[in-house]
Amino acid sequence: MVKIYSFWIFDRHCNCIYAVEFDTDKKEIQRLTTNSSYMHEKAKLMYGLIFSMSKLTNTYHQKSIDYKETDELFPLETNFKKISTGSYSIHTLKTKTGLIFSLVTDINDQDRMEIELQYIYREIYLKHVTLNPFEYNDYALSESETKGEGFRHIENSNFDKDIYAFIEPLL
Amino acid sequence: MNNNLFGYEQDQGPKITQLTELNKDSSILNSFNDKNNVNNQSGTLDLESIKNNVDNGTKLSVNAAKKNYEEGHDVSMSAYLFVLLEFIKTIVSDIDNTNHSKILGDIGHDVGIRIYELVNFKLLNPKKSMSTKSALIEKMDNYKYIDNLSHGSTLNISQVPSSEEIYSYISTTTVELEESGVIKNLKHLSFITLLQFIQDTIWKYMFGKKADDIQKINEDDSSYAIIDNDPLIASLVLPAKVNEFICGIIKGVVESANYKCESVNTQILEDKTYNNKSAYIIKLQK
Amino acid sequence: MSSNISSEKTNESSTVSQVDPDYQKEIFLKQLGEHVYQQNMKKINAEFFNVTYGSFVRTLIDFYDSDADKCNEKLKAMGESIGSRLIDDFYSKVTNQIPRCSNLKDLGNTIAYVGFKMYINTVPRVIFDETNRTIKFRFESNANIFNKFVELPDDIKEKKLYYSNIVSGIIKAALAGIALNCDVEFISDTLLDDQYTDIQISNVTRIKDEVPMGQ
Repeated sequence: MVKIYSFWIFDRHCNCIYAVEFDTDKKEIQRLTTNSSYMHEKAKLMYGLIFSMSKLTNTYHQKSIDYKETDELFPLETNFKKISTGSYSIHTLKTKTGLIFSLVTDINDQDRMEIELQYIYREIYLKHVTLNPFEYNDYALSESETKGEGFRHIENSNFDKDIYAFIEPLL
Repeated sequence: MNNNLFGYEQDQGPKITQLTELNKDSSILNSFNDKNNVNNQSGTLDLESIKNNVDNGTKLSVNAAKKNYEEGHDVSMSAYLFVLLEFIKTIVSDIDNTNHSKILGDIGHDVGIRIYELVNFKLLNPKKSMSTKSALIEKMDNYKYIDNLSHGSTLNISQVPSSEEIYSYISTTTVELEESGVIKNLKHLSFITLLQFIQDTIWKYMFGKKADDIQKINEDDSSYAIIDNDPLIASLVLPAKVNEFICGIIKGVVESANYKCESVNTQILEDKTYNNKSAYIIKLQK
Repeated sequence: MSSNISSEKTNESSTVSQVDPDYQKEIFLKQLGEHVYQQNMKKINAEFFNVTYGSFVRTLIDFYDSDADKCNEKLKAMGESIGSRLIDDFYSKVTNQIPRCSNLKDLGNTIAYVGFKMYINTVPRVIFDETNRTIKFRFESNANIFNKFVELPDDIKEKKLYYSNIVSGIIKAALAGIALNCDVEFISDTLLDDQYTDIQISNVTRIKDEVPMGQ
């Protein structure tokens, strides 16, 4: 049984669009809001880590199969799925559309959170964000909000509710 | 027999319930599905009886129409939802911010009229002349002789159109009044048979399933509710707005069947098992 | 006689051994499209879809006073708004079975055999132009599912309203979702008395992955 510490979604403009953090005693929840500088700082660190890791992974992957960047349209990419440290592990799912879903859990050798992340993407995110025409299509509305400088995020109470309902038994 | 027409005493009418306390007892639906009820069969849309009404030459086409209209050439619901929701968003945010319910209702009304015509047409006028000639039409024209054995034409298997072809034949036909005479229309004995037509045939045509219930609300036969436990297109997002659109459709159907409809409203009912149990309340003009 | 037969046989075997990998991929994509459509998609009546789309487009035309240019633009904008969401829906429905595209032809085949099949249950013909690097999707006379039952009035026909222009927006934005920039436009439409309905994708370029500030 894994224990979840926090959950993050990043979009392809390197912005964190959803984040929620849980304390050890289940109840206290830190959320990404417009004013919480603590979560923003943490999101940046988190993205930096995932970004550098995936860059490294791609470089090694391309080297290992002797890949030359001849076809610029369809580059060969691969994704890392899990980072483990001494006290926690980070599981990520990068979709083809550039979204990154990430769960921070305690260390556990058996559990790979891939199914859970897929479920969050396919069922919860799709239903409440993708299919909802009143959500933003793109959380960066202008050029200045791209490259990790954006501040918009998902504010959807149904989405919150479903995410919490899904994660709660794992806390 | 007459006393038992719709499963209730005609002098007294069905049981009256308030919408907030709708329950199974007030359903007037069960009596419709009773095959033993003779009056029922003549009044409602039984495809068997329609088949007998249409002359033998078109029997096969009717079968094909029935099949296709039940299974249908379909598209994915995602596509439908994407398009519908995008248009709703455009109407709410760009075209009219205050009066969008009316616009949605009007669009639904348009759709309703067309759907009523389409279903009528498919059920009763499956065989029509064509406006343009093509290989398929020639094939179909040849095929017409088969029924008439006195012509002595022979039939080989390549001449038999597939159900796909028959379907596209039916769906690309145009109505020419001179040849076909007046378009036959479905006759509804009473408003209740029309309601059942909507609940059963129209609903199945649009969503591939029946609506779950019809209930009577008022004493004076002026308000009825069609109830859908799990409305297909209203189940995901914006159920209220999509329901307004469906209300428009119902209004369009009722009005094209020559009933004067004052308004169609919608209400999402509280239910433990279904999240979006919806009632569409039809109010007739007195 | 016997020599004839044997030569035929060798011919057959040689054709079998030289099965075009592109062709195999095409077949696979077709099967995948069919499979995904049957297994993963909920379905709704196509005519209901047509009629609904038609009524909404009519409202739009009324709103813009029959200005076809504005309608085309608006339809495309709406398509883009749909497309950027549709791409997520697409990947969540096809799961991981979809093979990686390696060239433009693959891209065209994937859109036609899986994309179009999945959503509107119609497969257009794909015409790939190697020299200009364009992909064309061609719908034969009545195959475009949007066009059924529709006849445009003469004044709108003259102004060149592309009735199903929403599709071009959808393709454009969906490709933008997987970091491909391109121009998509209608070239001809059977509703405007052309022989086919053609949608063309051109100028496909890759959008560079963004890096966070300071990297």
